[in-house]
Amino acid sequence: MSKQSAQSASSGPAEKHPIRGLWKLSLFSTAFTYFVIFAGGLVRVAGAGLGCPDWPRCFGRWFPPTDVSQLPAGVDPASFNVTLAWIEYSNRLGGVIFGLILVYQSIYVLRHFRHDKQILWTTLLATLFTGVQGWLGGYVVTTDLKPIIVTLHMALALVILSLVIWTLLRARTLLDPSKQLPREKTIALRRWTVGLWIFAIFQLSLGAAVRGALEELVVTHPLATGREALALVGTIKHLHLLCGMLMAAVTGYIWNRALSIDTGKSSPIRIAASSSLHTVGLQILLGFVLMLVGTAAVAQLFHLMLASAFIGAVVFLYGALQPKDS
Amino acid sequence: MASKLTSSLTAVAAVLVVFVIIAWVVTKQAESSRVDLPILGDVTPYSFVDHEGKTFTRDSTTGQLTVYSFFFTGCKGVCPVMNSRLSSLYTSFRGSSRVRLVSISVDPDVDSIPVIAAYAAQNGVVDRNWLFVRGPIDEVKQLCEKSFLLAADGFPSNHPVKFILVDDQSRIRGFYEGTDEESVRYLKGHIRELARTLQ
Repeated sequence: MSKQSAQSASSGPAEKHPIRGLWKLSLFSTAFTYFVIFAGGLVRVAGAGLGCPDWPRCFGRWFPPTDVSQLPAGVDPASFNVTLAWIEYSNRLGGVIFGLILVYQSIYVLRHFRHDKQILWTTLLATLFTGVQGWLGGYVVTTDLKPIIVTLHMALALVILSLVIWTLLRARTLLDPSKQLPREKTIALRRWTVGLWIFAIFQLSLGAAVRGALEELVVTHPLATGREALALVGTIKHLHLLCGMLMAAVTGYIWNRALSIDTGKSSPIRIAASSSLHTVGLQILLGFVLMLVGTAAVAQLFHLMLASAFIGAVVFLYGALQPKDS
Repeated sequence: MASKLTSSLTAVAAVLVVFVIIAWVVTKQAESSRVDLPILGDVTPYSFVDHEGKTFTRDSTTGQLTVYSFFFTGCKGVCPVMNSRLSSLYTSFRGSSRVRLVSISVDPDVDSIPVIAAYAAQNGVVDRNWLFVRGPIDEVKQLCEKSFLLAADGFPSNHPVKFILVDDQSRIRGFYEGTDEESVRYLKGHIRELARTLQ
């Protein structure tokens, strides 16, 4: 079925229009996913997770209060911090807008691409997961930021990101199918890439566990500095570092193989493989910076953003490795 | 191709710079908002005696954060709950000279120095970071009503259950429900943020 779409795509400029539309739409939703992940990361590092202690409303209102006098009766004024409330709210608002974009994208896909299973399912799943993600965000608040729930919330964001990027790549492939390689050339590398993606999600969960351990230390050692707290985090920190090194090695291997099967200078495979390698390298560097400067909030946020960029690059690589006959 | 790549990289770098600036500003704003607690009044001078028999005045707390509370040793209702919350604060900030808990007796006739010393030991107090103090009842009432603006007409059985956070300059920065776990969690957060600003 997808062949039909590809064929119709190349049959004339008028038919190309929906694919171009999808390409632009999915490009926008990919960028917006990164923006929402950024907002979520900001909530995390600013310690604003309970800025709005209720859900879906914030202190009983659809827009957070701007002054303590607007708090509903019976609410402890000590729980209100206008800055933290609005930081948290920005993530909720971003999530809602993102959900609406995906609903629009789903309608678009149902209208023009219902025969392309890859586009159909990645878009519908991303939309469904975004709904679940909204609910999970509420659960994060009602469980008082239980670490496992916070980690799940973040992991699901990266799964949604992967799905959105997948749609983007599929649209790109339909626009320009000439850059695809034959199946026998790519199959082994595709398997490696899937393995790397799973490993990256695991590594991300380890990173979240380090962050969770730091948060627990805030309770038991409230006056410890970031550096002191990090020194108190045990095995999990070393495991995260070790896995980071291992991931860099695997990425290096994949990069090397990708370059050997595709020699085109600006080919998507080459760009994706190089981006993965650069991101993982930067990520390790930033990890060391975090260890040296003691988990500075902005550095933590960019550690998370680089992890998201890495996962995006790996999905991009997998998509670029799609063989000609798919 | 090269110019396209350069312009793409420039765009990515520009976006990155914008996001770094946003992240930096927002996290700094969040940080300062945590210590931006209102100033709710000043603690008037007082002179009490602590459970070690030493004189304890308002000026003894200068330079450190103080969490005030009221109790009496015969209290079997809310005091054990309040003490368990204070005990968790005491454990959390143990070893820091920047934070001190002060529990003021509202029944000084019964709560003599040996009685409050035994009460302190019962609550696991091993240093001067949590002091149980006693003083003339009129002075206690005055502190409660005039400084903390809390009712003091039903002493001893009817005493405030609030914890009062006072900064290093004897200024009141917050009131917290001493029996409510969530409220005490906010108190803990506020102590942490204010304590970080003290050297």
